[in-house]
Amino acid sequence: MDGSGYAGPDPPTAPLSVPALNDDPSPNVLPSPVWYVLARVWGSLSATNDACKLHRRLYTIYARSANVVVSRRPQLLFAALRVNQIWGEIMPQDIPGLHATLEKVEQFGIVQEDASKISERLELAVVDVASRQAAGDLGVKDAVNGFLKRLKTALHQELCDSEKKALKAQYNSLLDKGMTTDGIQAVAAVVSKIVAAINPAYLVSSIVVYASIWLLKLGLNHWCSLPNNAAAE
Amino acid sequence: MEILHLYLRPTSASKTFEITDDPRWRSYDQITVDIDQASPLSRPLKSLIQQLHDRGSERLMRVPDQTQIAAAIGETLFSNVIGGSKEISKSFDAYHDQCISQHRQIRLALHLPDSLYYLPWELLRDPRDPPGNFFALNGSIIRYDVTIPEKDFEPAEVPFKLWFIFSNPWNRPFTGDAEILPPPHEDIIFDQIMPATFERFQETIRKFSYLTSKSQVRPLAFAFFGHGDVDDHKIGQLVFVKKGDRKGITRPWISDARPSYAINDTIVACPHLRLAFLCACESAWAGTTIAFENTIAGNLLRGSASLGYVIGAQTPIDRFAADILLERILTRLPTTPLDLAISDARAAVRGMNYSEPGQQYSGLDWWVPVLYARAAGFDLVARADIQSALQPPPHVPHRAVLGMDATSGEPVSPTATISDVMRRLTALVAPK
Repeated sequence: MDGSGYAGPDPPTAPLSVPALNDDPSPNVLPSPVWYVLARVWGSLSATNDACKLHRRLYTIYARSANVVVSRRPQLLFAALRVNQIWGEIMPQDIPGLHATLEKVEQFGIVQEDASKISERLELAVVDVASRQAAGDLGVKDAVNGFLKRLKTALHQELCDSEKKALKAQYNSLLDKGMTTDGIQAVAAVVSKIVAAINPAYLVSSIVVYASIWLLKLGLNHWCSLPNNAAAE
Repeated sequence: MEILHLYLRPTSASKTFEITDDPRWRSYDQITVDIDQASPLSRPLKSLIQQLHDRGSERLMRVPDQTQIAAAIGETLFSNVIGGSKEISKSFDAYHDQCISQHRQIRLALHLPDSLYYLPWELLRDPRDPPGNFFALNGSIIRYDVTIPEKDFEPAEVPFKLWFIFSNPWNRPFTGDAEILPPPHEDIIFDQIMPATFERFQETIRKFSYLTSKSQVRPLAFAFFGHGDVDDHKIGQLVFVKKGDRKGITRPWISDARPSYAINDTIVACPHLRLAFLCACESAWAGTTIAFENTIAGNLLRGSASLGYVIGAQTPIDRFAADILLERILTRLPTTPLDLAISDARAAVRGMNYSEPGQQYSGLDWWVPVLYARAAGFDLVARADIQSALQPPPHVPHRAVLGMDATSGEPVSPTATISDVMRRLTALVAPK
């Protein structure tokens, strides 16, 4: 039986996928645990080409096996790898299930849906992740609304020139490919970085894909012409 | 013929089945059911079913969108099974015409082998029907297990007893505080098993089955409303509650999942129990990797000789949809055959207001409930009052009602007063 209103699978009792990383790591007020420091060092190393390749290779191997062995993997390794996504510039194609989600989205005709429906799907995808987290003082609904607002605000800040009220020049290439698989992947590269920075637990393919399609449906230049607080609605 | 029975059995080829409408199998045809084939929407049937089942962010979101997919699945199944055999096609057309001429609903009983349980037969529809028509909505679809022989049960007396369990564990809640309201029908004696622990369920159902013969107490129907799971061992479970750790002055009831065979151990001990209603996710799910007898519905049906009907959910089911289904079916049950009561309930779910908070996707679950039957008939209780009210008394010639005096056989004068007519009518229906 579903939770009220949520028509997904039963609320899971499985451990959280990223237990230690549900909060924004950027305001690093508390002393960082050792694994966190190590992960950051690893992340900075991967700025060099060789380290980057090695890192991507390792992550790909990990991601392929994650579905079956995640519960047996040491939590430290998993957390370090996810943090490394933030600092080590993981490309969106490395997000587990991205291609499968893109395929499904095309196969089911979801790409043709309007922006409001895509927005609803984005919310469903966020609910799916949020329902697997420890809610703490807030319910799932609050966590979902909070995350979506932060995501839209952060995307607006990243993509839009607030003075010109248009897409930043360096992102103009995102407009070239339109609503194609390549176009969605190009936007997804930006979206995935933002999602990882806000809360890596939400870095799942469905959230990244729907946020990207939603942006493309709204029209990036049109969205950038809106003030930030309106764009986050 | 009130219900058209179709019997299917597997052959040595995985996608080929034999089909007949003759219970003795004197003649039969071969058909192919292949989910890799293209559907009317130019997508493989498998992909449509996958999208129908999806409850994540790729799910179908509105009933009109779902109707298109559901119709394509239903029509493909129809063309495979009914259209796939000339004989069956002819039988169906004859049955269809008979139903139309007699103003009856189309009721199909499918006797299925295990390998076909996972298909959504509740979406079956005739491509010639107007869009939105599904047999399960406007008539009925009944599933029989081929391994179980049909059995005749005497309809029970009214009022009958319904034992109800509402299991809402603190650690897996599907609703907040809620008042349980008995179904609004005087023929149902409704009682709730509280607390919703497995032990209390065992004790109550067993005790009242053996110690008394009173129909007011002895359970005829049992309904479970709560979580259902299929665990890692591919065994269906119902989630009861058990005492958790004491917090302060409160002790929450936490989840306590019990496997299908444990539930069946109690159900087999109730020879008078006819109906089990499982408002729980996947309680009747029979995928290709889970054996039917490991599901709750399958275990109850195969494991008990006296249970006539099991209603379960073939996928997860929305909490509000399950609520409406249960209420509608129970309300209709004393006056309507079970399969048609389910159809009424499906229509009620499909028509749910999606603007209501939390009910956004509830209406999409009209096809999820599935009726598995052992019983040959579908009157759970005796409905003599309904039948006699609809039929004229046997000693009265029909024409009498249409303007002839029943006793003399003379025409009633067109100038007769109302009291004259009333007197004659009273004489007609009075016992002689």
